[in-house]
Amino acid sequence: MKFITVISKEEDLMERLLRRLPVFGAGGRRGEQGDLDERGRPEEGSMRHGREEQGDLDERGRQEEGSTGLGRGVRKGQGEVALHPFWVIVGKEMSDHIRSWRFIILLSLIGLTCFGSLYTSLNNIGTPKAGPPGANGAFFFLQLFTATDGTLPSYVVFLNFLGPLLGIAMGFDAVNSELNRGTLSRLLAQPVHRDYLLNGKFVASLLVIATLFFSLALLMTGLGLIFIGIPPTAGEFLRVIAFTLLTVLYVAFWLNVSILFSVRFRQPATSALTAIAVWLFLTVFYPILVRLVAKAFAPDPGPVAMMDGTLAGYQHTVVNLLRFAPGQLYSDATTTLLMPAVRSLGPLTMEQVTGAIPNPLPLGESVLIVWPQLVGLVAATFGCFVLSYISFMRKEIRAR
Amino acid sequence: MDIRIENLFKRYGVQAAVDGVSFQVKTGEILGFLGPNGAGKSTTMKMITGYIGIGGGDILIGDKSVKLHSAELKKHIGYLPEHNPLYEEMPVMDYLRFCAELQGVSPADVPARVRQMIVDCSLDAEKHKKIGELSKGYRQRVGLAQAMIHDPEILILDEPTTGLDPNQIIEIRKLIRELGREKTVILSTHILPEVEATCDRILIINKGRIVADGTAESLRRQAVGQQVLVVKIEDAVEAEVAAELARLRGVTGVTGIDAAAGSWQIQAVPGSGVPRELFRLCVERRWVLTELTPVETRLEDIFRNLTLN
Repeated sequence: MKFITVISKEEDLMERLLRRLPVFGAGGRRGEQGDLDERGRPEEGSMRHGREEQGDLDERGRQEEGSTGLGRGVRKGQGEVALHPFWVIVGKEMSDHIRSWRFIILLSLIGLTCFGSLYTSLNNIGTPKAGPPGANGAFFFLQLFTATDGTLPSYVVFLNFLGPLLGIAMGFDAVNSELNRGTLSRLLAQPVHRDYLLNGKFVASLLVIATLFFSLALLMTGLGLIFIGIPPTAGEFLRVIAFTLLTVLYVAFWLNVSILFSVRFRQPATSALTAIAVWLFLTVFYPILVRLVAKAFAPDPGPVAMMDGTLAGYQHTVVNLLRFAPGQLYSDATTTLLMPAVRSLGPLTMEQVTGAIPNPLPLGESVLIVWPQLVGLVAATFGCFVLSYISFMRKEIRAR
Repeated sequence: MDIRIENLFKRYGVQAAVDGVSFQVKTGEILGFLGPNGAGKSTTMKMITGYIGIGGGDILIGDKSVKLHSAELKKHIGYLPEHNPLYEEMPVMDYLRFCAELQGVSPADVPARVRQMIVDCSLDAEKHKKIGELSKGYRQRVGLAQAMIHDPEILILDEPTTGLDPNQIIEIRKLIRELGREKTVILSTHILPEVEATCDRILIINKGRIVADGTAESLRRQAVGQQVLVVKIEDAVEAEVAAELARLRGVTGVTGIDAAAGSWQIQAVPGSGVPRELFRLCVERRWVLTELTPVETRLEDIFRNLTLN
């Protein structure tokens, strides 16, 4: 009880302070007793405050709202604007995610791989590398994310297959579990638009994912800084940020896939399994399938084919086919961003090599190379979202 | 805010769940919604709250149609659904805060409203627990608190007292009565004494149609049609009493409850003065009249009468 009194005292203090700030105008909570008394005659209250705060924009807005004549219930926005329902849903979903065991388990898994790969790359980074000088050496810091000695995959490779899992885990029961429990229709009986729910869920998950990956990337940068003692250059730092944004985008794609399935399928187990099946197919079976088919159509690797471009064209086709898998797009893009020496994805032609100085590319050029991959990922993410949006908006939600 | 329902329809497949229902509820009135299972009570309530779309007809809340102003009207309605779905993983306080914010209660008012609801619905002991850990009664209270959190002018309560213990039922009924003074309340229930204790008006619905509408008193008057008396006559011969009672003017039937002990039930035409005649008869015959009780028709009987046929 003592604890509660302390809290309420603090709240009162906060309110008094807030009221003094001009931004919050005539904020203030009515006393609990006054609450009941005033309910019957709200006009008096609004008149009183209205006179005091003529210039207050929020207050004026509130009076207009009140003057629509439709009763009033709890008086809204006494100097403070009520939180938009969309952000209320986002806040609730975020706290749900953060508290859920599912998220905690995945967080610890990703954290573990992050530190594991950091450890291997730190061990590896210390040994001098044989190879063309200057190529990767200039971007020493970025090796934290990519370097490996073969015992443990690098952070980038880990994210390539753990990221989708995180995305799927956060979205597979987004809509169907609420539908099954009946909370969906109860939520929609509140004054919220139907699409707020889906958008809110998506934005909340995206925010959680973005926070997670940015913290991990910054943590790795910080730890790297401590252990190798060389600060990253501005270019390297920007590349890390670009890589993290790309990772968020990649996970957002899988999040949308699983949200789509959660709208389509009634049972969360079905949608989770379907999403995992799609993920397995695209990351494991699809490349195998493409290579098998490609082998059958491979041209004779003679000097003629090499010269007239048949071989190069064939290889282009194979790589492009592989790029239907989002994992391939992601690994293409991350490789280019984190290894500035990479100047082309796919087979190099003679024209590209002639006259080129073997130097790392600036960030702008690297981004230019992966632009199609980025657009592809954004388009796929957006496409999935549009599909789930349409099917959610058209879904008949019958209350139980 | 008044609610006016005009010729409301709703079909589920081929079955008409609500079939041309029209009624009106005024501010400050508590309407009890009665009917057997599947009569269309919940469907009607869901349509008023915007929980489901309306099939035909119209619902006017404060002269605004739910068809046109659905989002705006939802702010003025508090609804406790029958199955009371809740976010089980959320603690009670967080859930109520979430609902208040969703209803557009200003951030400054939210803590006060949440506290008020916790007091009103006696949730204090359980307020930090997760909803999934609560008993059915406490969940019901959370649902009720959610319905009232934004201080709506209209309260639609679908079986509000199920799962509550008798003390809590009495408290909730009191709360509903208090709220009903300034708000419009519609509540459905299967507990008939509850309707009599709480509601100003009763609406009985059967197979999607309204079969009775009025106060408990007026329903009784309509349904009764005959007066029932229980009498106990001592110091008399059984056969003689039966014959004499049946001969009284206005009496339509006599049945012995415990004839040997002198207990009888008399059915009579209302307003025919049977009690006076009976008293005179006893004086004349020197019988001792030890009991004369008019039996009120129970609401249960009225309900059965209206919904079984």
